[in-house]
Amino acid sequence: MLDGIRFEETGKPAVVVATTHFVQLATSIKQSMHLAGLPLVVVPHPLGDRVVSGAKAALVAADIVKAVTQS
Amino acid sequence: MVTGKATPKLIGPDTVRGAIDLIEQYFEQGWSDGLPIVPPTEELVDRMVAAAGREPLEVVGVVPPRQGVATIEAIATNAVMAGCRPEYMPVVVAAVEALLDERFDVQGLQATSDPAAPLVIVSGPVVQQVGMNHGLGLFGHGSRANATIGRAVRLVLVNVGGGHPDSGDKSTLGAPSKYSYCIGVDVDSPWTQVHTEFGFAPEESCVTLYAADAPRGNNPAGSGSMEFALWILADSMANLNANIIHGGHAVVVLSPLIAHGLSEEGWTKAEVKSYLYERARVPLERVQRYKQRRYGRNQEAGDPYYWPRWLDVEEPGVMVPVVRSPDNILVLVAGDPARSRSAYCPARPYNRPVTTKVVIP
Repeated sequence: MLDGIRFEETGKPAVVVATTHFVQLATSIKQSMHLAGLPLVVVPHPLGDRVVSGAKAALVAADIVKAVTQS
Repeated sequence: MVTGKATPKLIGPDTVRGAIDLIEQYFEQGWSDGLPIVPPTEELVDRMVAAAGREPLEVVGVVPPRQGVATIEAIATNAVMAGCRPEYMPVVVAAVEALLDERFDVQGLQATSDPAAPLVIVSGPVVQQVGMNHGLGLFGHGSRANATIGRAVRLVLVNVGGGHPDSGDKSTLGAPSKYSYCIGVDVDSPWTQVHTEFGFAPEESCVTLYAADAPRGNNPAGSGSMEFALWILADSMANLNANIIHGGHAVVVLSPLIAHGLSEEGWTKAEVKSYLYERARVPLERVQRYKQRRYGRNQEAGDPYYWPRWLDVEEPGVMVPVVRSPDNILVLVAGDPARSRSAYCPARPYNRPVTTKVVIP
């Protein structure tokens, strides 16, 4: 989450992708940084190897594009 | 000077019943490491702040992931809760300063799935001045100074930084060292004090902080050979521990018996480090098999945190050092002076060790 925040601070649009296992931590960090509105896309835990991660990324690709292009 | 906000004061009835109620209240609020805390009354906190010799609202740093502000007063509150005596406060402050130094990257330590904890290594005159344990039972129970200074650091991570298991601390298995991990060292050492390796004067007192796994003990007792103690120690280091093989650090503790025996045989601290660096190695083929099974590919040129550039991966039977350089091995002298024992604590590569000065007002 902090990495996404740092990108946003430099003017680069960022979307954080977290697994279900990390939603609570990511939300807590967003609130601590007073950036509750930062986009967060969630995939099922765990990410696993490249094949598994690739499959999960495909599921949320549209959500990521939507989040990074929203104003 | 940037100042923080005053820590909210909790004032309960000045009775034993009131104190017990406060302890339960702190449990309910989640302001604990799982053990009862000492209620931080205004008087105790003020006394602890005075012992630091600094303004209460002076900001030492920001503690992730919650980004809580660690003022001197907030640190003092957690030091009281940990059970510290006021004379420990300068050591606690130095430890928190090291913790929040950007080179240490405490955010990574809070968020890691590793079982690592901040290892607070205290050296110099303050070790004996505040009664820290540097001898028998070094890493264990029984020393108020060791236990509470280490605990104060953990409570800052929990209460100021939000490092609660799962919500802010993602260590998969945790470790007993996450309650408290603090030692005094080099009081009975034949070599230079550890903090002199980081640019401090021998007469100064310092805290050196590593993000370390729990210690693994070795027992070369009865060998009659001090080199055997190093041989056993190197063997315990030579494995695919992820924290090490990615370019981490090795914190080793030699009991005074071993250290003085080595010194009398002519060994310097640098030679001890070189010996361990040369012998704590893993066959390249095992490292590549680990890389393949974990990442699906071999180690490639340019990969970060991995073995030294001079390593010739084409050489048959090449052995990979578990740390990148002898400089990544820290040699400390502590423990029971009457026994021949050593310990090895693997430390994460992603958190650079930091040494800070203990300032006693």
